[in-house]
Amino acid sequence: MNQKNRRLTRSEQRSRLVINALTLIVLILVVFEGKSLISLFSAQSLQERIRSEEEELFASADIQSTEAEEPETETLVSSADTLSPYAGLGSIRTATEASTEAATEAAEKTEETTERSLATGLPAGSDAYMTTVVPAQAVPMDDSYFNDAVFVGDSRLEGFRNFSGIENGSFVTAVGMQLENFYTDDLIATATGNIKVLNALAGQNYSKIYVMLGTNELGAWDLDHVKETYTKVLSDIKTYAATPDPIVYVFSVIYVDESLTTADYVNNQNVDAVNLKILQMCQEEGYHYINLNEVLSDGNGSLMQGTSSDGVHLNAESCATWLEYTKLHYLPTV
Amino acid sequence: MKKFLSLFTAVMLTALLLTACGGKKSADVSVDIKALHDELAVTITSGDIAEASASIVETTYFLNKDKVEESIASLNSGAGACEVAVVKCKDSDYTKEVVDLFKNRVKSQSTLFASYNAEEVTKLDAAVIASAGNYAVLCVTDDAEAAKQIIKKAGF
Repeated sequence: MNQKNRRLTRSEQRSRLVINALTLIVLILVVFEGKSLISLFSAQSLQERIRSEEEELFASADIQSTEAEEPETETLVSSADTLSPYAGLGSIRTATEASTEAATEAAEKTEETTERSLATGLPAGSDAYMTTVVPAQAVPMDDSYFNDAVFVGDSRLEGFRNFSGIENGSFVTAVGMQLENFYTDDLIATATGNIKVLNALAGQNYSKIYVMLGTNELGAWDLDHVKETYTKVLSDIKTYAATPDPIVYVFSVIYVDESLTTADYVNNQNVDAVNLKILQMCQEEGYHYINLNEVLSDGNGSLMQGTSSDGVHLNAESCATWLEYTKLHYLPTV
Repeated sequence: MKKFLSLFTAVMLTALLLTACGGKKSADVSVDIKALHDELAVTITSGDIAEASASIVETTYFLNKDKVEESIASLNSGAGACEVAVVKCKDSDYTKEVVDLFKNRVKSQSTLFASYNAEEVTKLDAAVIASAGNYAVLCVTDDAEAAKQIIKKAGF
């Protein structure tokens, strides 16, 4: 009893105070940081930390073994280097660096091709068919060049006929003409009623053919079938020519203004797809491609704004531009 | 007898009155075809139309240029069926033929647009074709009633 009631000495009081303060601090830590403390010392966290350290250890071990094996991997030495004065020293590249470089070059080439396509209005992939694209001549042709020409095509070519100011040549054109109805429908007007296209051609006298089809084929599922049918159509048109080997000019499908067109499938991606097939056909058959998009495109793969009120059919001014372009793009030998 | 005479007089007076009506005879019509064409072209508000050359007008309507004194027409970009044509023939005998050629044109266009752009067939069905003396006019327009009024005012 005396021990319980004995007053604490100063040092004892001080010690008790310190202990109480420390206890309080620990309690505060437990309350506010308890979760972290638990996770720090939990078995699961310990396992994870051990695992991650193992992974680091093994990863570093792999790198070291790869470096040790390096002298045995295939080395690439450029052919230029073998011929250069420094061939003896050589330039050794790893397979990884070479493929990265090749990929970069391919990407740059694709970008360059895309830029050139946009600038020229030719579809991407048309490089292989450039010999079929009719280049510009220094002097435009005389109107008499069209005297023995027949123009065969759809509503866009009909608009060209009505608006361009062309005075020569004969026109076998119709709204709605397309590859699928070319043979079957009575499309061509006469004084006594409509007749079929080939019947209308039978009465003409031509040795040059200008044709525009393809706009009504935009969105077609089978572009190979489009090419096949177009090839047959042109072959049949040729059989009615006054000469055995008439010159065949094929107008590109002109870009559209997608902000004005109403059907989803009437878009410039489809225009490029059809034009690529037309270029292939021209290459295979010896026809001549007149790239109207060179002068009617806005430089971004679309029809220039202000050239059409519905995004497809050109106004008078643009048809006049079309005629001027055609007069500059011809084969000078005939 | 008196009754007979009264009836006869009434009939004769009526006949005289009727012959006095009608205003100008069709043979007396004289039209400024350019002015008429321009007035009719204003009634066309959809799509692009533009004046075509004489040779294109001739081949579009299959006109015999030897029988036509002058003609003027505005044709379409290919998007629609609206157009206007005014023809002055050298002889009124040819006017009837031109009217038939205009009717043929409308029929031909109706066939094509029925599958290409069916909305345009409505305009073709309401096409205004008229003739008076040496003149024939065709108008396929967005406002057929306005075109009829213009043509009537011109003396057709």
